[in-house]
Order: sequence, then C-alpha cells, then structure tokens
Amino acid sequence: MTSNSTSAMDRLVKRFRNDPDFMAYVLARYQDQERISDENLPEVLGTLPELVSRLALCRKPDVGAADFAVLVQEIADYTLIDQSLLANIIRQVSSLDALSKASQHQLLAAARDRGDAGTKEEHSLPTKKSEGEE
Amino acid sequence: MGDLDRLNATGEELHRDLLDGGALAPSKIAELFLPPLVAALNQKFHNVSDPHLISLAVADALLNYLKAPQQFDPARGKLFTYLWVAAQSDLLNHMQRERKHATQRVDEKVVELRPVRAVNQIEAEQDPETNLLLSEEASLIQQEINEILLDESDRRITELMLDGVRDTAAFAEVLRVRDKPIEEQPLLVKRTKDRVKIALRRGLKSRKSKP
Repeated sequence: MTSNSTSAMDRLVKRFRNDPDFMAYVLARYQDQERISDENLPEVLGTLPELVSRLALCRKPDVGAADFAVLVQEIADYTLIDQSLLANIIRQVSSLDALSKASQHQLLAAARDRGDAGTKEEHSLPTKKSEGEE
Repeated sequence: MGDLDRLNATGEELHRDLLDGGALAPSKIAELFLPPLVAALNQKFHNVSDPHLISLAVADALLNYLKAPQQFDPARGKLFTYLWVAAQSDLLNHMQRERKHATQRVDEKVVELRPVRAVNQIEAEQDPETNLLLSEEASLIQQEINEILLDESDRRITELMLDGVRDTAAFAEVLRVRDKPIEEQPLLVKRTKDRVKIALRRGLKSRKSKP
C-alpha cells in the first residue's frame, strides 16, 4: 500500500473504534484493559501489523450467537491469529462491557431509589406536619 | 475482463455478503477498494495542498458505505463508482473548507460538487481516469509470510486463509489428503492451520528479537 492508502486505512480503523459492531472496538477496549500500545498489538496477537487492520475491520461475532465459534475461526484464519486467543479477547471485552453496563444500571437504579425516597419524604413531610398540627 | 470490471464483479459479491452480515465482508471491501480509490483521487487531485485530505475523504466514503450499505443500489451503478464519487465529493468539500480557512489560492481544476443522489449515476463510470488508475498493489503480506514460512504447502495454506477461503476441500487438496475419509479431513486441515499460525507467530517473534 502507498503511504496515503496506509493513512486512509488507519483513519478508517480509528473511526470504527467507537462502533461496538466491529473488531476495531474490541481491540481498542482490549488495549485499554490490558494497557497494550498500538505498536505492541501485532506481537500480542502474534500476527503481522497489516493483518491487525484487517482484523479491526471485521464484524465482531456475538458471543451469545450459536455460530460464535465458526465466525471466530473464520476471522482467525483470515488474519492468521490463534483462534482461542481471539475468542478469549472477544469474550473478555464483552464480559467487561456487560459488567460495566450492569454496574451503570445499578448506579442508576440506586440513584432513582434515592430520588424516589427523597420525593416520598418531601411528600410525606407536610402530611406528618398537618397530622401533628391536628 | 478489465481490472475495473473484475474489481466491480468482486465488489458486487462482497456487497451482497455485507448485506447478509458476513463477518469478513467490511474488511475485504476496505482492502479491495481503498488503494484504487486513493490512487484515483491522487491522480485527479495531484496538486492538493494537503495529501491527508485524500486519505480522509476515502476513509469517510468507506465508513459511510460500510455503516449503511443498503444506501448503495447496485442497479444504478457500480460500487467503485459509488465510492469514488462519494470520496471525490468529500474531498472537494474538505478542500473548499480549507480554502475558506487558508484563503490561499489552490491550483486545482474546479470540479462542480455533486449532490449526494448523483453518486450512483452511471455517467461517472465512463470517466476514463477511473480505468487508468487501478494499478496493482503488490502483496507485501504474502512476501513477509514467505520469509518466515519456507514450506511451499504451508505458504499455500496461508494464502487460502488470507483469501478467506472456507471450503475444507481447497485446503485438503493442498495438503493432499483428499483420499482420507471425509470426516477426517476437517481435523487434518484444522491441525495444519493451527501449526502454520504457531510457526508464523514464532517466526515473527524471533525476527523481532533479532538485532
């Protein structure tokens, strides 16, 4: 590839880092979780740098899907990466994403509960007061 | 069949695969179309003040297509033309913005901006420049692999994997195990793929550790 093509490919990969449907997102999250630099990523994956871009632009297989293993094998072969390593990376990122979503929901629910309790208290105060007055 | 026809024929297949949710399709499309798109824009806008604008335009065009492939209608034109016109429109918009900011005269021929709906127009396919710009990109990846894997059948196996071939028979042919029982062949193929990947991984590691 020419330098302009490489630059366009890098830009494209970066743009997909925020899209959870793509492997670029999985890799970005995995790099964050494991503190892996862009330079070291090919070594961690055991493949060529050009094939990391190739991997990034593949669709992310859904861990819950019946064909998860088949799709992972397809991607692993296409990028010459070890199949179990790739499956583990996708599972790890998906699990931590799910945990983070769950804890966000818990926080939101707790905040909502506190809000509800506060509102109830606010509503109940005048009643008590009026009862006391009586 | 010319280069452009071959590109578009493959593009049509990949487009269908993309719509069907194929895991490899976005990657294959980007690899297939990105280099000729960059080359096409480089040739047409060779005086562009900032060459990064070209890569930006091509990346944007591919991103938009890959995120919403259903907007491309194969009945109205070819995929290369669709992407090329989209990238060109993007580039012209970027250049116009640059001009406004820099207020310096850019020495390019003025090309009128096309409305988005014109992107599918068949007319653009007739642009002779498009045909001239499909220079072949050497496979550096295979070259690098060949430096590590010395066995010819291992090289052929990696070629098939890199081409996204799924058919066990193609691998069994290379491994000369077609005469083995049909249920054994996938296992033999899988073992070879794993062995080749390990060899590649080790080769890359030892190459990196060499001074």
